[in-house]
Amino acid sequence: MTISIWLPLTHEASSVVTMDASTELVSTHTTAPSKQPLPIVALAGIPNAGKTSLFNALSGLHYKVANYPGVTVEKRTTVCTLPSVGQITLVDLPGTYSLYGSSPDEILAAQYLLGQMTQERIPDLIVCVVDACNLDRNLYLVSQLIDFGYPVIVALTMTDVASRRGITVRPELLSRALQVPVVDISGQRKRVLGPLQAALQHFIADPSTIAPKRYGWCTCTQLIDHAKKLGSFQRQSASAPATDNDYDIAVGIGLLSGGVQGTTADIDTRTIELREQLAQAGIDASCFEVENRYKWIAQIVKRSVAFERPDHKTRTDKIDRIVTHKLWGSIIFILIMGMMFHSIFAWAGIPMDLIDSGFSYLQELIRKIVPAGNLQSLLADGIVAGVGSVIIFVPQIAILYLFISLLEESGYLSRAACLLDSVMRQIGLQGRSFIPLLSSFACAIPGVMSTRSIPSFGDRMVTMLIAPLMSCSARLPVFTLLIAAFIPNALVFGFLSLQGLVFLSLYLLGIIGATLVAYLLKSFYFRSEPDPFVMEVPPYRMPQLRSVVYQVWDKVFVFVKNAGTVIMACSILLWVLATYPTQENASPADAIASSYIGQIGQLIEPIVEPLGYDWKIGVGIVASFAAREVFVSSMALLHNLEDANEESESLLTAIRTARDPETNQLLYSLPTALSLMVFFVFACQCMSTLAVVRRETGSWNWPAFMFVYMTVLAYSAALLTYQLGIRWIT
Amino acid sequence: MIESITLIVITVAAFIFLALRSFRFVKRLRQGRLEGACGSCGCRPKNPGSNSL
Repeated sequence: MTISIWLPLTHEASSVVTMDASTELVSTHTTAPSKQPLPIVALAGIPNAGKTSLFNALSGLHYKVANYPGVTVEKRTTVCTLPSVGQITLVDLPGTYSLYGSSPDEILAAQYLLGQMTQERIPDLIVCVVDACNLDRNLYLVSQLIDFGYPVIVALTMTDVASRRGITVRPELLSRALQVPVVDISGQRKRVLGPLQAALQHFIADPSTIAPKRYGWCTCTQLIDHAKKLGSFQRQSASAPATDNDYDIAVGIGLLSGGVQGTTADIDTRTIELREQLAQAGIDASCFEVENRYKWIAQIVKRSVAFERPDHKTRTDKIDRIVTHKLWGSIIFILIMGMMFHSIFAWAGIPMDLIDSGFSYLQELIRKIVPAGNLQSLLADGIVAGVGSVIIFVPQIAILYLFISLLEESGYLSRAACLLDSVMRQIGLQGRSFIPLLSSFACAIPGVMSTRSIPSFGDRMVTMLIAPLMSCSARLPVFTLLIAAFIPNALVFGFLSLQGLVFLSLYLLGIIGATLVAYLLKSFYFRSEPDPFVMEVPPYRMPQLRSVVYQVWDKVFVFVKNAGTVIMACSILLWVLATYPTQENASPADAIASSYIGQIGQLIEPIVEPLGYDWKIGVGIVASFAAREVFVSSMALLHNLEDANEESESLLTAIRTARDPETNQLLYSLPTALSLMVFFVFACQCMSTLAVVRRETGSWNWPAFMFVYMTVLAYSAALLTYQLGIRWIT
Repeated sequence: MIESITLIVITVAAFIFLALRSFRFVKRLRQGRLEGACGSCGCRPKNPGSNSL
């Protein structure tokens, strides 16, 4: 099979390069330093156009992709070897609609493309990824890049989706109109990357052969003259080396339209003067560029796209009529969330029991094989009990991530953000904050980072500060353990799991807490009206099995790896602290109480006692600062050591039946469990989250504030829960 | 005797592992490479390896 790529070699004519689509595509990554600077190829485009998918396909990496805008918020660079192209530096950029970005991720992309990043070489070639379904919006950036004189290759994505909507994009006509190469990369990777690589091979050798006409949209000579003067003035003020005059024009147009900021007060004054001169001539500089670029783009689209069914209602339109409906949409949203949390409990029971039985069998086996003594205790009560108590939650982790990846891949998240916009506005935020907050249910770190897609500083800060209140997956083992131990496994209304409902209410508690904190912050500190909410709503796509399975497998693998490394190491150290100094002829309970960990626990106990916790829980909370799951493994370890003389029992039974050695009363009650769950909902126990907030805000003040407010909130809420619980719950 | 030595080796190995991990965390913090730093959620991209194509 042969595929054509349209490569215009001159302004007037296009030529066709053909290659065999069955060409073997092998790309390998290397970080080996190269003496010659490698050619830099940057991937640019609007959000959700498919840049990271292309980046992954070319480099063989596995960066996260999803069907909603704003997944990539950082510049990513890799060195890869492409067949017949050789080594290149490939750069993936956050999505931006134009070179005049407003949110931090857009500004980052624009700064890189405009060469404003010191220590960064400007790219030799830009592959602009263009979504064929929304050609108008995508071509704005292309036209700006052309004006700045970059060699641009347009990579068309989603032409298959566009065809189903009756939109036929003709790459050869688009290439002729734009005077840049256009490559269709929609469809299966293997088939479509060959033509792109052929184009890269052709133009990396001599990018200057891509020389489209610049400023094709601008017919106003007066504006061009003024822009040229202004751009040149800005360059001279910055003592920058001389560039081509056309580049100065592009900068000048940016200054006149307000998209580019002047570097000095003189430039600002000059800009205002020139704007006034243009206004006297009847030209509104602030909107001239936008209006005329879009007019020009409309002409290009008219020449290269055929609309067969302009009024055709797509499947996405039909689904959206229900899913984004004010009433039905809200009901569907609640049902999806409810089903997610119900499934985590309802579907995971059998595999969890199997894993539990497996680890119990392993403990018994160790006791039979290894002679009684400290080594046997370390292996059975320390390592196997500690690691096993965490591994048991793998099925639940898999179900949680299965739902998250299905929601991300389908395109539902953007709709949910639109639905929740009105709710978010009540607390002074906007719908755009929803996606970072939803990401935080998996992990707060990508959640905090994805706040870069929020243009407003105040909204961004508030979203960042409340993101860790969304219950991340690391809290899941703690919640599950306590719910399974203290909440009856009953059904509500005959079909809803009570345990699932309690689980959902913990997540809701986090959301309510976040809402209150956001309201307070917006009312007293970050006072500003929320920006209007504009978001790219992608078409629905059937989630790809391979991608979903990969995402779930990846998360499960990391969870298991973490259990086999960090949790195991923590369990070993905790076992040592709980076993030494050894006490001759002491009962296991007395021995552990007088161990190092017992002594530490008794120091902590006065602080945690009002919350209903004993010293073991206190130790577990402190240990969970290493990783939240360590709480579960430390509880398993301490109870195993305490019940060393008894028959092996599961952690659940051990917690349910634990008794105070002095009073023989049950040690843990429902109020204790509720108080502990509430503490874990609000507590900030993740060093990595604090570190990423430090990086995003550029100061330790905000992470310090976050830690203090979350700790105070967690302690107060847990105290209130326990004190009310012991009075009201018998 | 063998039991004591085994216990010491395991404990020291666990301690060194956690210490090295903490150092690596601080190093990543200084370099600003924090994606996936928590190590428990899998948000860190895969290391470069074989191409999936």
